[in-house]
Amino acid sequence: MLMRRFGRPGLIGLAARTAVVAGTATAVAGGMRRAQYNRAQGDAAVQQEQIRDEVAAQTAPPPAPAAAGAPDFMGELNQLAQLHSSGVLSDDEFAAAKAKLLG
Amino acid sequence: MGALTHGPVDLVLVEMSGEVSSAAVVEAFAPVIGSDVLRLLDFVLLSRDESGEVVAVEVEELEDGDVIADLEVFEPGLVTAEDITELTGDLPVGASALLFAIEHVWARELGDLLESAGGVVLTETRIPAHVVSAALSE
Repeated sequence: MLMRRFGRPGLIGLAARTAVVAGTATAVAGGMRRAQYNRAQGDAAVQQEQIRDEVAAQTAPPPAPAAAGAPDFMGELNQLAQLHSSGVLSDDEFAAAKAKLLG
Repeated sequence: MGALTHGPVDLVLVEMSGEVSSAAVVEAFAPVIGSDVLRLLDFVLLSRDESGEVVAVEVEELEDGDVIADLEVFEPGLVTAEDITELTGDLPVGASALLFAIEHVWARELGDLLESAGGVVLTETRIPAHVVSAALSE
């Protein structure tokens, strides 16, 4: 394979993750389709910037790996915070997920 | 000049089975790609060998004069190894497929105009050709 195919995050994963950040993630379950649209994020410029930030974050070089056996708290907390600030997680959901993560 | 350098891209995986020749498949695509409407950004021949590994043959590895070797590919390597692994998950041992990454060039400028106008695309859903044709022939 071409060298260029390695060392970059996959496009399919990027598309899925940026959809969550931008609040346009959809769920197809049992034939029902739910589109999530946060009116506060409805400004196109804001949404596009969120997507660019998310892609940049995904393609940034990975941080130094955590000590062997230690869970990646910072990475997961950051992800939760992003999902919270973009409206995917409510305040309650975010608090619950954070409590669960920190034990 | 807008922020978008490219339009949206479809990753199309075409199964090669039986007597189908890859040259014939590529020739079928040829009239519609390489234009202001659609453009071929990436292309790779894929197969799963006897040991279960997915093998990729790149355009640049083919001999000149091969119809596939003569394809104009604008962003070779765009599709990552991770994407290929995900797309070929169900490819059986001994089977092969052609992967086309096709850019909707027409949608790039539209995307810029939409963004300037403050429009936000909520969802995009692809309905396969067979489904539309069947639905409209009722």
